[in-house]
Amino acid sequence: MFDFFKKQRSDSLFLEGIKDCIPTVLAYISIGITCGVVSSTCNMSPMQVLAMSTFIYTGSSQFIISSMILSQSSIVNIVFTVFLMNLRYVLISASIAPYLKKNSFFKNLISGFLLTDETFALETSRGQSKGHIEYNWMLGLSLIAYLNWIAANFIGSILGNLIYDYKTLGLDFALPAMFVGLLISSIKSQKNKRTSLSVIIFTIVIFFISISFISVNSSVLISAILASALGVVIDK
Amino acid sequence: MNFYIWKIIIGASIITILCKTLPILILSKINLNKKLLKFLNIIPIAILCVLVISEIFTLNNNFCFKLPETTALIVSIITALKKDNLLLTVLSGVVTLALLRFIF
Repeated sequence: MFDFFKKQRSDSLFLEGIKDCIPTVLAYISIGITCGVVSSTCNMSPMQVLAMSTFIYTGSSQFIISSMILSQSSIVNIVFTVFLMNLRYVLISASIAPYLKKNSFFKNLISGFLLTDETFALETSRGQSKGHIEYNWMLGLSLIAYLNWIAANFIGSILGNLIYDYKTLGLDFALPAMFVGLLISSIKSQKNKRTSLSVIIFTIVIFFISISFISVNSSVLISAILASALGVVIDK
Repeated sequence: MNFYIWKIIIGASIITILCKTLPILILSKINLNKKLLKFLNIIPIAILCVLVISEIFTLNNNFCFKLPETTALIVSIITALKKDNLLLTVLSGVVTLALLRFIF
């Protein structure tokens, strides 16, 4: 009997995760198709696009890879750039780690693999409100996002020949627009909004100062780390 | 078969998976102090903010003011504040930018 109720709860958490993912699905579709279209412009086959979206599964990296392949960059250069782009995932993944203490090694491996910029904001919000992130909820949220992403990329790679210039449709703005939505949502869920707004101001100032001296990718990391550290100092 | 692209996919996949999974695998099993937890709590806001800024206001590693993208950003922010709907936020920004590019 207990096992029956346990399974019912697991199923409902999974479905709740799927439901919570729905608002992000259209953003995933538009960005995923754009990503697939862009990838096809650098002579990637649909199979390669499928593999890239399945195993790399990060929009920003996939865009960068396509652009660097077009400019015939070396493999080492491209992989290193992907590493720099994805260093932010070290911070993001670290930030949700405290909410995953109850999970096994294998479950955390899956959680990490399926982590994206988009799902992490939802997961953080869940973790902050409940004190932990239920694995089945996370699985429902992330699997839908993942499968949707793969399908959208594949469709985009096939449609690539039909959409000459995705920028005329404004599709390149889908990613930053999604970040804006997630950012505003994150701020609203924070208890201390004064600290959140201060962190935003710190981030912007540090970023614009640092890009005068270092690359954008490095500035992203440094401004995020420094601004967050300052946020801890001023938070009471 | 184009091994150049396949090698890139393999290398980039390994790097990405390590970046995403190692912190969770390590940090979920140790107790973190309060200040570090607070830091990790604030990081998402800083990361998201800087991702937006870097996407909109940079080009080729330099600052670049782009009026259509900035306008679309303002529209997205207002939509996000008023509606709290991710789909609408994305659509409003994308449509605004498409219209501005079409007109200008």
